[in-house]
Amino acid sequence: MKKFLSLVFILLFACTPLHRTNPTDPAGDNYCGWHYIGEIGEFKNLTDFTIAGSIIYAVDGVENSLHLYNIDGSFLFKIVNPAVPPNIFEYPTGVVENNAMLYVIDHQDTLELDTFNIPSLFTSSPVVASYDLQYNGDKITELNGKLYVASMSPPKVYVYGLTGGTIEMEFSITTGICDTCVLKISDIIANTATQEILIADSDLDRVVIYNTAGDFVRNISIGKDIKGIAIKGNRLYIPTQDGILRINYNTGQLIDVIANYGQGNGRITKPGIIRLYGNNYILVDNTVSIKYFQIDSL
Amino acid sequence: MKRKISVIILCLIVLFFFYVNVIAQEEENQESADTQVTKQPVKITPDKYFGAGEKFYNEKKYKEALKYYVAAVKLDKNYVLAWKKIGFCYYQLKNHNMALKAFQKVLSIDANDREAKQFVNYYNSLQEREKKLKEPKNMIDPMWRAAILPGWGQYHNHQYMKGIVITGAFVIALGLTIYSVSDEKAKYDKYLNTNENHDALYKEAQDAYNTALILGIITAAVYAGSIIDAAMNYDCIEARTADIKIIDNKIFICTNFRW
Repeated sequence: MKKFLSLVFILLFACTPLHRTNPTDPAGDNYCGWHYIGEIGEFKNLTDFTIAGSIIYAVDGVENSLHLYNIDGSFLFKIVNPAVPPNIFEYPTGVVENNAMLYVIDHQDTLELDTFNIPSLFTSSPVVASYDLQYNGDKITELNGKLYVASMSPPKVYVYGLTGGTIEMEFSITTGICDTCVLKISDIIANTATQEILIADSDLDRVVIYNTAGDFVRNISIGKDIKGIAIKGNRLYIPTQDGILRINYNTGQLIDVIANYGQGNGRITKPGIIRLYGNNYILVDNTVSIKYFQIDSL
Repeated sequence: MKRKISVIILCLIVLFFFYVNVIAQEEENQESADTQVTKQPVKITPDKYFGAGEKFYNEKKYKEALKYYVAAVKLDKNYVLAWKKIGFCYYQLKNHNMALKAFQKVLSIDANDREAKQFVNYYNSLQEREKKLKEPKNMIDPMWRAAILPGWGQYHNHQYMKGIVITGAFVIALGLTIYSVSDEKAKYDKYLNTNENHDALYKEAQDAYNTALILGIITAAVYAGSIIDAAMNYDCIEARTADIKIIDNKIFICTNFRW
């Protein structure tokens, strides 16, 4: 009996847990509020992605393809060019969703805008249409039924209807080095709450804000290379090599930094496009995959 | 007639006394001659006594031999061989104190005598050990030794096999504990520094921690057990006694191995 009690005592003592004090451990005592979930996809060169419903739509600029993944990371399928031309994609670089339609821009001589009826993609007869754009673009966003297509360099933003065609409007962008200038556009998004278009300038390291009329409103200086931007409410999310910066959209003040701790894949090394999902998820382009983070509150 | 008889008797008496006197005189003369012989100085050398002693020594009659060796050194106080033989006789008669004195005498005559030196040194060490063995034992002595190095206390108690086993067990347990602790530290650091797979890495660290803890407890148990055992056996049979054996004229101190 004494031996048994001694053994129990030893085992109980031995089973005393260590402290879970990793700040990125959701079960830790000092959880910092965000953690890495995992990676999604395998790409040759992920150029852009968007999230609609619970599906991730990602375009690969080297493979010339459109990948579809569930938000849990499971692969659905991908659309590639047919064996016999005409091709659907030629270096696709931008994708955006609006009203159950997916818009992909690429760099073909004509038919640069490809539209996909999302529900039909999951049937045996998907509805795909291609339209011309007056100028090739690199990134695309949508606001109020208009497509805002940005050319990287020289920096231009053209506004089209949902079927491309002629330019409806061009942003008055000053190229060069000044407070209102833009040098190189790496991403473009729409802030539906303020009805503004946000442009990431990867040369001047700042976010430039325009109204829907194409006029400069203000800029937010970041001071670090910006490849992508995302916004949720009053918070701007900018992935950099030092982590994802969370910035107050109104004041431009840094709130905190995400994905900047420790060793492992939960640290972004080649940040690109960033997209938000729901109220708790951040997805960041890492060139060959999408890194998936969970946060207490966006 | 009476007168003749009286004369004859008288003559016989005279003859008797004459005869008795002559006999007494002869005996007296003989005694005188004997006395004269013993009184003459007889020259016996120490070597003769030594030789006689050797005869008895070879017959292993050490007591008798001892008398002649003593007689030899009485004649020659610097007779080294005789003194050594006296030492050996006493040694064989197990009178070690006297043997020591004899060999010390040998050394006083010839300081380089190898056998005498050997015996004196050996005897001194033997005496020292015997003295130590007879010293009252102290519980603290083996305890502090066991506290410094588990097993050393058992060595001190002359429980050599137990000491070897305890030292070996402690060294192995301590080595494994140190390894496990460093392994646990490395794994815990890995968990602390990671930004992914927290559960798996934490489990690895926890398992390593448990292993290190169990090994640490075993090490501590061996350590504490060694001290307690050393304290409990400070006055055990092995700690107090040692066998002294003489084999082929050499003295051995033998200790018993015991659990």
